[in-house]
Order: sequence, then C-alpha cells, then structure tokens
Amino acid sequence: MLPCFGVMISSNLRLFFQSFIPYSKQGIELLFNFTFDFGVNVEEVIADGPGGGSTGEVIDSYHISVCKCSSHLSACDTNPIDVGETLGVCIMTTNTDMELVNVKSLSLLQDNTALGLDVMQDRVIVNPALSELTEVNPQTSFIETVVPNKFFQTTDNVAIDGAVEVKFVSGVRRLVSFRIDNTAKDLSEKPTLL
Amino acid sequence: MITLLITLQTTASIVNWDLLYQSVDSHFAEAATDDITLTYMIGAQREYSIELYASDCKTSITGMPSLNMVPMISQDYELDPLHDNLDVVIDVDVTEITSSNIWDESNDTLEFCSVVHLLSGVEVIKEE
Repeated sequence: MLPCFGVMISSNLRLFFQSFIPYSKQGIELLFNFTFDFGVNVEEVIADGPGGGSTGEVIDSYHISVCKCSSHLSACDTNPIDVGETLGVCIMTTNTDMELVNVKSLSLLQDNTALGLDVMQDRVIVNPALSELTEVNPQTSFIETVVPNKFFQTTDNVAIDGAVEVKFVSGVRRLVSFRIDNTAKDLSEKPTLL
Repeated sequence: MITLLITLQTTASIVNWDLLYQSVDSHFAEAATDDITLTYMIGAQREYSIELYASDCKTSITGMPSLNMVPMISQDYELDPLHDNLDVVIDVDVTEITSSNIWDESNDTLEFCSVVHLLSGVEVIKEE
C-alpha cells in the first residue's frame, strides 16, 4: 500500500506527497571456498561450499560452516532479508585443531541482475562505512554488512561468494596430493597409487 | 571484585544509514520561498541526494521552470548523535502550478514524489 501524505493547503488546493519505492525481500545463498594453510607454505583449495563443485564433504569433516546469521551469538537462519536490514555471515569451526586465519574475500552477487558488492577483498573490508568484521575468537568470525537498496528491486536471490583461510593449530597435519588409477580391468588388481 | 573485560577484535563500526521520512509541511504564501518542507531523519554525516518527480516517482516534473529545492541539514548531536535532520525546502511559483504535470485539476491536487538517496561515493545505499 502506498504511504501517502495529503495536506490541505487552501480551500481548493491539496498537496499530495508520496515517497514510495517498491522493494522485495531477498533470499540468500552461500557459496564459499576454504583455503587451508598446512603450515608448510602450502595453500590449496580443498573444497567448494554449497553451490560449488564438491558440496560439503570435506567441509563437514573439518567442521567448518558458513551461514547467514543475525549476530555471532545467534543461530544460523535462512530468513530472507528485508530492505534496511543488515546481512550477517557467521564463519565457524568447531574443530579445536583448526583456526580461522583470514576471511580472504566476500562479495554479494545477485542472480540474473549482475548487481554486486565487494565486502572484503585481499583480507580487508572494502568499505568500512558499510561492513564490519568481528573476529570473535580463533574459531569464529562474524561479518556484518549493509545491503544497498539496489539488491531489493527484484526478487532474484543474492549469493554470497567468499574465501576463508584456515590453518591447523599444530601445524603437523599435511596434505598429500595423490590420485588413484582405478582403470584396472582385472578386479583382483588393486588400484595403483600414482 | 574481579572485573572481566572481553573485547572482540573488530574493524571500524558500520556507520548509521538510517533514512526516515518524518513529515511534510506547507504554507503557500506570496513571496514565500518555503512553500513546502519535507523533513527526513538521516544517519549522521551521510552524503545524500534528492530528486523530485511526478507522482509515479519516475517522470520528471515539467511546466514549473521556477521550481526550486534547497536541502538544509541540522543536527543536535547532544540530543541525538546518530542522526541529522534533513529539511528539503521547496519553493513553488503558484502561478505555474496549473500548467505543470504534477497538478491534477480533477480534484485540485498537487501530486509529486520525493526520492532521497544516501550515498557512499556514487553507490546508492539507501533510498526513500
């Protein structure tokens, strides 16, 4: 319904003022990459988050999650955000062997409209007037950002794309790169590690 | 007594992006320059822009070449450190009203739309 403001300014003249621009609530999708630092100057992208290539298997094994939330103290939610609301993103690991090192990047991109907003780039907040990073503890980071009105002018979802750097606290676990040749036709023959 | 202080490592805080319409006031008078005043409450020290349109909030106002608009910012940070008051003072030449596209002669109504933007550089962050 239009918010209208009418004022009688003379016996035969009325002023009709309106300030109305329609907006839609927005659903949020998460698409995250995790970069693991194994303490030997090796950084390797291990998994893509939901919406990426492999969906969560490795992420689950390391107990890392990224979700929409309203504060670092609140539970994850899937509620759409409304115009005027800030967007919160919680990044957490429950594995005490792991720490979040940096949020390397985070951006908003709206489906179909090509509208975007870079929240973090190269490990720093792009616009501190709009966004804030809170490193709650080594296992939890919280990013809050204002969502510009342009994202609410259609009903297309807004995707959050980002990358997080993670390290093992002990620094003793290392990633060994290998692949398995499973093309052997003789079923009695074991796959060969290459 | 032991006081435990817990501090979170946080970047600079997000500034206030409130953009709240407050009121419209009018007193048309000959030679007056403040025929209509729109009042908004906006986040303190935010950059803004204001545009006036016909009632569809898209079409430019025509037929009122003397239409003038002056934004005026005021603040009382002791009372409210988070907000500025934005008054949009509009000067209307009453002799031009009936020839404009914001005049509805069927019901003697002047209809227009005000669009206020809060800006971060060139990016529109809030719109009302």
